[in-house]
Amino acid sequence: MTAVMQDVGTPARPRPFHVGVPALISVATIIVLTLVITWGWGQPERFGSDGIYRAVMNVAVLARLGPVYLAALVVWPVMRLRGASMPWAAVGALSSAITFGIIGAIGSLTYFPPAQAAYYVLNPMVVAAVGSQVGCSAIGEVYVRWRRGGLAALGTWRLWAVAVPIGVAGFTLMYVGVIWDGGSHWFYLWIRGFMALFGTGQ
Amino acid sequence: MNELTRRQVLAGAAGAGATLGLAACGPTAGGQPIEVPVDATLATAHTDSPSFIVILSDDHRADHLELTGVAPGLRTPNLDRIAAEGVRFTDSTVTTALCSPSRASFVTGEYASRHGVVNNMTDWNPDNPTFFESLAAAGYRCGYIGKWHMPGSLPDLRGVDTFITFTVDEGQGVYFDCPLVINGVDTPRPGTYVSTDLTDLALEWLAAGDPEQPTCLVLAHKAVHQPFLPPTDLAGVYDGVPLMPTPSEGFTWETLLERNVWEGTAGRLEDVYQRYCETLLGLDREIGRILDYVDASPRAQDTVVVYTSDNGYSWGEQTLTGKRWAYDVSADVPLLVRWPSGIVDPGTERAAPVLNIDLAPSLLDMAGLPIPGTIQGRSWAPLLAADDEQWRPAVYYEYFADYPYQVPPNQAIRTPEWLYIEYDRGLPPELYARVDDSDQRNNLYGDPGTEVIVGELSAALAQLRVEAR
Repeated sequence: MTAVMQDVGTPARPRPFHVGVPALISVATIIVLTLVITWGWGQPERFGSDGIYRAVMNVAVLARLGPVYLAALVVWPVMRLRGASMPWAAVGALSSAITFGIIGAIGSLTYFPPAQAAYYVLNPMVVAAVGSQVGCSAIGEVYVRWRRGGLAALGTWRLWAVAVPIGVAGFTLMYVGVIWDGGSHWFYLWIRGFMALFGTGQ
Repeated sequence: MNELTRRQVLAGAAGAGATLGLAACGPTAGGQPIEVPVDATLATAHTDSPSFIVILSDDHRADHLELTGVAPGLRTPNLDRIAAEGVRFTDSTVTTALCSPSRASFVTGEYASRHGVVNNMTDWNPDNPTFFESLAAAGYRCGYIGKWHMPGSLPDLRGVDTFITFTVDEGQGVYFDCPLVINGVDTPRPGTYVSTDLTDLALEWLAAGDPEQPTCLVLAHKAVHQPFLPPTDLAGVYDGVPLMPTPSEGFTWETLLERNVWEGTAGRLEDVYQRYCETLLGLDREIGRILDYVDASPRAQDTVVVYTSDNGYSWGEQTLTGKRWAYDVSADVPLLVRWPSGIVDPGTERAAPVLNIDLAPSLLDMAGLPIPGTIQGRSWAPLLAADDEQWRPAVYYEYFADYPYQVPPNQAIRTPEWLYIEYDRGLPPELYARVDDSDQRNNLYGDPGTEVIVGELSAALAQLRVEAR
């Protein structure tokens, strides 16, 4: 993919922070919303009323899904248009899903030993998030090509030959992780892997 | 345990691969009924013993009966009918609020610590004795129809002449077109709704027997487990109908919290809950068919119908959607018993604390059979005649780690006044006053003045922990 797409012109000497800030914003949003959720759940009295509690919690839980699953729609094109190479854009695009996975693993340390908590990052929600971000990145790259070269830039078959399979693969992973029968197929696969590694977890 | 070796990583990959293979092949062995020798003397002596129909549902919380009024628009006319014509136990609890351990406790009369099915991953030990064996040896005709859902390969079941279950979705089954394993044979069931299909098979089984022979049927439903799919004609029947209000600490999208999401209930809490109630209505309808059959049968007066569930369910209490926790909504289950010739004051309630491990000894007791020493439960049959709140001063609850569900292993002691929980990791103990705080919202642990009761409950819990093994 890199070889195919490196012909796109990029600004000279991109500033690392300027390039990476979209990913940082997405990661920070996930962290802040997670803190709000963790601080608030089960504690309506902290919000003054049940209505405010429910509104805040519902918004926080749903809003967190945005960066976790769709950040790359923004992060990838903005980073690329600011001069990021594809590998760096990939790191930025996946950072939100990975952060979500790490937060989940840290949270599960309350309930499970460290090795089992580490295995938690392979859970269907995280795998689906990674898939979704990959798919969004493919869409984002098409957008980048259009911004840089107009419709003519979209006429090359090599772009589609790479972007379409990657996009389909990413969204398929998301579909398997959380949509197909509610993600139960990946869930059982993940649990079988757990049992092979840790037995019954006792 | 905490360090992964290369061998373990490879084993994990192999396990995942094996799963794919298993999913493609389906079950290949097990599921056969195994007859046990009949003791002719016992059988002759027990021809007049009552027949039993045990209806075991899944995830049905204790208060979700029309008669309780907890959910104003909820209808469960046939379950209420059992209560009206029998006895309702108002403090019925499971020893582990999780499908597999609880189901094993029902059929063995033992705590999970003893029968060994401690979570949804640990295998059922085929050597575990069940009440079927004792009843069959005494001349009962026994059958098991429905959800088995215990880990490991599907076992052959001693003491029954019919064993019908399902293995699809790791033994959870599916609501529509659920393929069954009928006496060891994989059998597609296209065009069926699982509660109706299992009831059809149960009625066929009942009709096929000798009317003079006492019978014991366990009819174990998938309903009302997630994904909470009601029969087609009941989908949406509660649109606009007031059901149980969401508790103050619950909220619409709590189903997506990591502590809840693995329960498989992702979606708007109110919508999922409504489907739960609609699925329950569908189950209730099937139970009505069983009751109608029994009422028309020659043994109507001598047939004991027991209705219960493997665990309860939280719908927003403690911001939880699911079971597993020791809280009342999670551990309490309905227990309804109808026995026309054996209950003198139908329509009454019993407050004595009873457990799932009491079912096995109760059936044997009502059949007039000795209760094996392996059984840890106690027969509630005497309570059908009169209540005794001091019958059991405290009950023991145990929960084992069940990955990835975010519930620490814990043990709890429940008395009529208190619920006290100790976690093996991650969380401090909890203490609740059950009378004033039935939903367990106000944790009193650490409050001034609770030191003495905490000490007493902790000591009693330690003793129960030993006794459960």
